[in-house]
This record gives sequence, structure tokens and C-alpha cells, in this order.
Amino acid sequence: MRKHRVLVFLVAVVAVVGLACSSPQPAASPQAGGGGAAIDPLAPSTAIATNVPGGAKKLWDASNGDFKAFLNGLSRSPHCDPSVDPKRGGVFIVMGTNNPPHFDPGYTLAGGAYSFIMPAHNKLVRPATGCETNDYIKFQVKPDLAESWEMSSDAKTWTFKLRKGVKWHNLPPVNGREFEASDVKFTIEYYQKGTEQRGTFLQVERIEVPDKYTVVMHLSRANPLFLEDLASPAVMLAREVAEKEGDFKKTIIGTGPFMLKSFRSSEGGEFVRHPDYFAKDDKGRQLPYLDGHKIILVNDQAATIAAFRTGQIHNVPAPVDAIPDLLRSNPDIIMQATPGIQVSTNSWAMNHWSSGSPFADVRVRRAISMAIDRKTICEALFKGVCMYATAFPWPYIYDRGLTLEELGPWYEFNPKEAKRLMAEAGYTNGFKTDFNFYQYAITGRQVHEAASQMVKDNIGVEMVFNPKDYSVYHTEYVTRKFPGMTVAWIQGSTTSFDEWFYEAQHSKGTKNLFVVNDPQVDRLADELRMQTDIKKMQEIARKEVDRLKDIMFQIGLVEIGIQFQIYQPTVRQCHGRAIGTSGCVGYGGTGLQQVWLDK
Amino acid sequence: MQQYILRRFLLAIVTLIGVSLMVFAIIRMVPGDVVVTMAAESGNVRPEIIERMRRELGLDKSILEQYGIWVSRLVTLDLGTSIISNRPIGEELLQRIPITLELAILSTVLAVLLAIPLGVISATRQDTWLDYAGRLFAIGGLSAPDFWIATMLLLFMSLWLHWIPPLGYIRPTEDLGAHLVQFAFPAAILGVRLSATSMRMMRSTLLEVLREDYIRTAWAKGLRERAIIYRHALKNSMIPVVTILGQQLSRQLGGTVVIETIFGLPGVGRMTLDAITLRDYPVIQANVMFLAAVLVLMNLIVDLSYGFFDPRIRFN
Repeated sequence: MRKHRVLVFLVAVVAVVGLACSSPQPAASPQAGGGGAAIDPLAPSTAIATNVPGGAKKLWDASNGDFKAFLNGLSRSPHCDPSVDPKRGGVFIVMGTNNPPHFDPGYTLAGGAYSFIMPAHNKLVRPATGCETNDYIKFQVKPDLAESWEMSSDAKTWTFKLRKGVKWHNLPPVNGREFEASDVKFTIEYYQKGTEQRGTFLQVERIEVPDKYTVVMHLSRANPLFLEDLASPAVMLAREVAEKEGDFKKTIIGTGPFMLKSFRSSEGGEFVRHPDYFAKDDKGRQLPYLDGHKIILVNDQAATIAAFRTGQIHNVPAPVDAIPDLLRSNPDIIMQATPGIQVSTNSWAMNHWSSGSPFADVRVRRAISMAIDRKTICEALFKGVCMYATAFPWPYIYDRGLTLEELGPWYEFNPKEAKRLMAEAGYTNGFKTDFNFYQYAITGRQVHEAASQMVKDNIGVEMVFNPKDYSVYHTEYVTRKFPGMTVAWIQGSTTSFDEWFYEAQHSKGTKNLFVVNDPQVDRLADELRMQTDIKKMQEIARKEVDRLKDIMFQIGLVEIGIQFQIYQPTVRQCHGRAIGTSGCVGYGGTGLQQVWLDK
Repeated sequence: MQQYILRRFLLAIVTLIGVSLMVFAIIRMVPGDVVVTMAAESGNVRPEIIERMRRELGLDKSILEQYGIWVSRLVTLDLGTSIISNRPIGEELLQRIPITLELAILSTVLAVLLAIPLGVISATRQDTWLDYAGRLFAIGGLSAPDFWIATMLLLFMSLWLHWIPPLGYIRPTEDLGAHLVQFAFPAAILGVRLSATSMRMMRSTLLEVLREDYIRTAWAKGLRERAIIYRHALKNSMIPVVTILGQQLSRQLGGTVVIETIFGLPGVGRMTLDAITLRDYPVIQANVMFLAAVLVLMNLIVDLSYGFFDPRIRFN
């Protein structure tokens, strides 16, 4: 308790100093009066554009060191000027941190793998990216390999018309043949047999291929959001590779803008442009603009930042604290932001299904949540710019992230009420519990440590940190064999509405990692699957979220409120989206086709 | 000598069999199931999928059967296939060994070039400022972690010089100059650390030898200092130093994970670490056996080298 008071005091000092130095906040933001996440998702709070060389430095200087004002002021989109012709050439170089285990999208969703998969592939439809949209929150579908589609009135039959003349990469064993409807059938059936995309595509009961460029998919249930499922990492695959090698683990051959020229494990890989790529920009110019793309695998943050500083790479995922130094050494960098989506590994799951578990009592779960002072953590660790994690992607159902007040009473910091709930539940003196911990990020560790200390100080629940390595943590979490509590996530790379609101929450869901077992949630999730109207689906999903926030099977903590990207001053038209991508690399590799280098 | 080598070779086989049993058993006792880890990314671990994957990977067989299959392939130098990536382990290892070998050799050579002269100077100028400087260098090299030195180097070079060596491996056939520059820094960092231990050993053994009667006799005979040190004392001081250098080289050949990670060098160390994280049993087993074989060989070479430094040593 004493340590907590000291922490709060120190943070309060920092907050007071920070507020005293901050510039006035715009009055119009709907979250301005809320719990610290004062971000207008779509518009920066100042007129200084940071998506041009030198803009970020100007904003930093104007912010007088106020991080909150600076982060709020970042441009939310790349600089898009239709009067400027993109320059051709150059190789876009990035650093990857994760060695891909292999390249088979049917058997992995690892970010490291998709860094290599996405630039070389297309999907039937894809999310809008780069300068195609101003809204990086809402999901907007664009044609990719499918140029048009039709949904039946019951939302159970989808007919896709494919582009003609699309060529696979001219590499054996596919040898540049034309992409056709049978490839779509093969791909979906391959995903249904695998482990990673199976949950998304089991809904496809039957696929018809009436001609070379038409695919008809019959679903087992109504799904007006089926396009989102197709725009997830469900890239189209060439059957010849599977026929020759049994799977897609070693070979990358797609229809995408770049062809994999070389790959070496733990080293990285190089891509060259696909000379027969089908896509053109809106002025009819051939895509991609770049000559190539390179990924260097270095799993060290300091080395990555040093490489960016010295111009060896074009973008860097730097932590917030590194920004001032980067702006000093590289004043011309470009910075852009997308709002965070409140889905992260900064949340807790509790083993409430084991016999005698204290977490089976909803009062205990609520008490733990109310013992956490999220605003203090937000100020201390994220300079006041944060989202309060609830493990649901708000862009599907809200226009902005929810403030702490809007998240409901159990998110309010109220140690007195928390103690009362614990006493009512029979745990007046708290209890000790194991906490399985895996460090996804340094700030993640800090959040978990701060929150667990508060829980101990305020209600006597002592979370004993058990650091686990990747394999053990994942195994125990996914098989629901962790002893007490654990760092938690819901599979995050997909964009699927159904996966979030049905599979992860329904008691019979295939991804119900929090073991939610609530009749109301089940009823709402079942109702969702019967809907054909998207607005009604959103209404039901909101009710489901309200119920989930009440029964607290998952305790969301705090996450940084924006995802920001940092680029060299020569980079143009690279931008991420709120869901599923960060920048135009990784899962966002689709966007690479529009990137160009101004040099 | 030949009998000695034959005896050592037979002992090596016994050692390697013991290592194979140990690594096979221990890695399977570590918590974390490789099949579940592979399936876990989807957040959905169906029993039927797990069973199918186990069958496909041969992990449904008994432990003895799995061991037998593995060893029978190992004796033909078939290291198997990675469970995770499906790539042949032998090919992967052959790509990585030269990188680790180059780093190990460069750092060891640098260590020798630093340790021996510094150790000699320190011993022959005992309790002077030269001695203190040398010992300070050794303490610094031993105390500062190599990852810290590497990180600081990259940080300050990027800030002050706006330059760092290229990250991400460059082959000598692609650009020899860039390749050498790339290896110079990690080799230097490792070399400095290695030299610290060897320098201290060099100093202490040389000091002992310099106190021997025959050295006093050499002084009395009027021999020059250079002759005394380099012709008489140094060789007799080398055995412990060579032992240490041999051990260090062996350890280097197992891969220096941290330095490889920071500088983006795809060596054996990183390969082993990745495999351990993902519980890629065949890769772990193969790499450990490789390291064991290297250690056994290095120990033999070091032992045989004693005869060069001290002709009194006989191998019978």
C-alpha cells in the first residue's frame, strides 16, 4: 500500500508537470472529458502535418515536450497528393523481428510469416489501404482477385466474379499460369483442413465453380460480413505447390505484387516486383511502384533503431520513449498514427472453471478490476494517451474507443467497493494466486506489474508472477491449463467480426479462450449469426459487449492509445489500419503495392 | 601417439552416445508441447487435430522407437527435418556453421593477439602502471556484458557517426568489404571479452614461471629479457592459456546467441535458441550433437597441442 501511495504520488507529480506544460486540448473531442484517452480517432488535434518530412519535428517543438499533445497531433493518414506522380524504383527495406516458422498460411498466423506471405499474395478482397481511404478505422473492402460479388438475400450464398488475366508468379511448379476459380476452391478447402484458418472457413459448406472466372460459395449460416473473413489473412494458394511439396511451408508463390527472390532462415529475404502483376493505380499506372522489398531479420530493438537512424531501413517500430531522441537525430522523419483498438495482450484471464477457484465468483472478478487504477497507469506509462483494453475491437461497433466511464462500473477505480465485494465473496484478506506471464513487450510487463501491485495493495490478491517461455505460455493458455491467472489475448490477426463476437465468446466457440459460459452471451452470439442486417448485428454485438463487461471473465488493462509508424522522409503512401495491420508491412503487406520512395 | 588418438576417439563415441541420450530425454521433459504450440496460434486446439499432427510428425511412437529412429539416421549423418519449418536440418546447419565459425575464429584470433602481449607486458612489468592498465582492461572486459557493449556501440555510433556496420548478414561473395566490416565489430566485442580471461591466465602463469629456478639461471647467464621471455618462459606458460582458449573457441562454435541476435548474424546460436523456443526437437538434438562433437574434437586438439608446448609430455 505504501509502495502504491509513493507510485501514485510520483505519477501525480509527473502528471501535474505535464499538464502545466501542455497546450490546450481541442474542445470538440468526444472523449475529452473521459478517462484519459482524449483522441479523436480520425483527425489530429493540430494542423501540423507530420506525414511530410520534418512535420513531426515541428509538431514536437510546438508541443514543448508534451507527449500527450504530440501523440494526439500526429497525422492519421499518409500524405496523399494526386497531383504528384509516384516515382518508380527503389527497394523498401524493413527489419523483421520474428523468424517465420514457415510460410503456410493454413498452419500459421505468425506475424513473422505474414511479413513474407503478404507481399507475394492476393486475396479475393482486401482492406482499403494507403491513399485509398481517409478512414483507417472502419473496415472498407476493395476488390482484389475478385472484381465483383453478389450476396443472396439470406446472406448464405456469395457469388464472386474473378478478374481475367491474373498471372501467378512465373516460378516452378506454377510457371506463371492464369489464376482461376478452381484455385479459390482449392484454397478454401485447404484452409478447412488446416489449423489456423479452419475456424473462419468451416462456414463454407459447398463451393461451385460454374466457369473459369466464377466462384459460388454456399455458407452454412447467414453471414453478411463474409467479405471481412475473406479479407483476413486468407491469401490464395497455388495447388501445384501443395501437390509437389505436400504443403506451403517452404515455397511462396502467389499472384501478388512481389516475388520472393531469396529467403534464409534468421537472415531475411528479398522480393522483386512481379512483372506480370495485374493491378494498376487509379490513373492506370502499373503497380507496384517499387522495384523490390527486403526484410532483414534482427530481433533487437536497439539495433533496429540504430539501423533506422543510419538509413539502413525505411521504417521502425519504436517505443514512445525513443521518439524524442529519434527526432533529435533524424529531424526529417515522417510519423503517422492509427488509433489503438483496445485489443492487446494487456489483459488477464482467470481460471474460473477449476473446482474451488475463487475466480468462479463474479464478485471476485469485479473486485480485481475495481482495484486497478487504470488512469494512473495510463499517465505513468503511456503519457496519458491510452486505450482501456476490453479485448473487443471497437471499430466494428463504435465510432471511437470507449472512455473509462463508458466501460461501466467495474472499470472504475474503487478500492473501497472492491474490498466490500471481496468480503461478500468470503475473501476479506485476499488470497494468493499464480500468474502465468509472458513478456510480449516491455510496456506490457510494466502494465502487468503496476496493475498486479495495485490489486495486492488494495484487496490483498497476490499474483505470483510465473514467467514462462513462449511455448509453455501458449500451451497452457490455449489448453486452458494455467493454474490461476494469465496474460491473455484473443487471436488478433484476423479481421473477422464473427471470430470476435461468436467464436471467442460463445460457450461452444472454437476460440473461447476465456471460457465464457453465459447463457445471455450465448443467446446474443446465436442471434448475431441469424442476422443479415449489419446495423442490427452491431446493435446485438454492443449488447454482447455490455454483458461481457458486466460478467468480467476477462479483465482489460491499459494499452497505448495509438499505433504510430515512423518512416524515413522518402517513404510515401505507407499506412496501417486500426485492425489487423501496422504500416504496410506484416499483415499489412497488401499495402506495399502502393508504396513509393521519393528520391 | 596413434594409440592415444584411437583411445580418445573411442571415448568420444561413448561421450556422444551419452550426450544423445541426455539431450533426447531432457528436451522431452521440458514443459511445453511442440504440437500444441504449433496449433496454439489459432487459439483452437482440437484433440483430433493434435492427434493427426502427432502422427504426421512421428511423435505418436514410443520414446524408445523415436530414439532408435533418430540415432539410426544420425550415424548416417542424416540430421532429419525441422518439425516446424519442414526444412532439412543438415542444410540449415551447413549454412549457419560458416558464419559462427568465422565469428569464433576471428574473435579467438583477436583474443590471442590481445591476451598474450598484454599478459606478457603485465607480468614482466608487474606493479607498474602498465600492469595496472592491463589488469583494468581485463576486469573491464570481464565485467561488461557483451550485449551491453554491443548495444552501446551501436547507439553511440549511430548518434555520433551516423553510421553502423550493416545489419543482416552479407555474404563474402556478395560484398567482401561489407562482409568484413560487418564481422569486425561483433568479433572485436567478443574478442575483447575472451582476451580478458586469457590475459589474466597468461599473466598469472607467466609470473609463476618467471619465478622458477631455470629462469633465474637464465638471468644469471646474462641472457636478454626478450630471449628469456619468448624462448624459455612463454612456452612453459602456454598450457593453461591454450586450455582456456580451446574451451572458449568450443563455446563460440556453439554460437553466441546474443551477439548474433544484435548484429543480425544467422549463426548456430540463433538457430538453437529459435528451436528451443518452439520446441523443435530434431533441431535441438542436431545442434546439441554438433556442439558436443565440436567440444570433443577441440579438447582432443588442445590435448595434443600440449606436446608441442612441452616436449616432456608423452601420449602413451
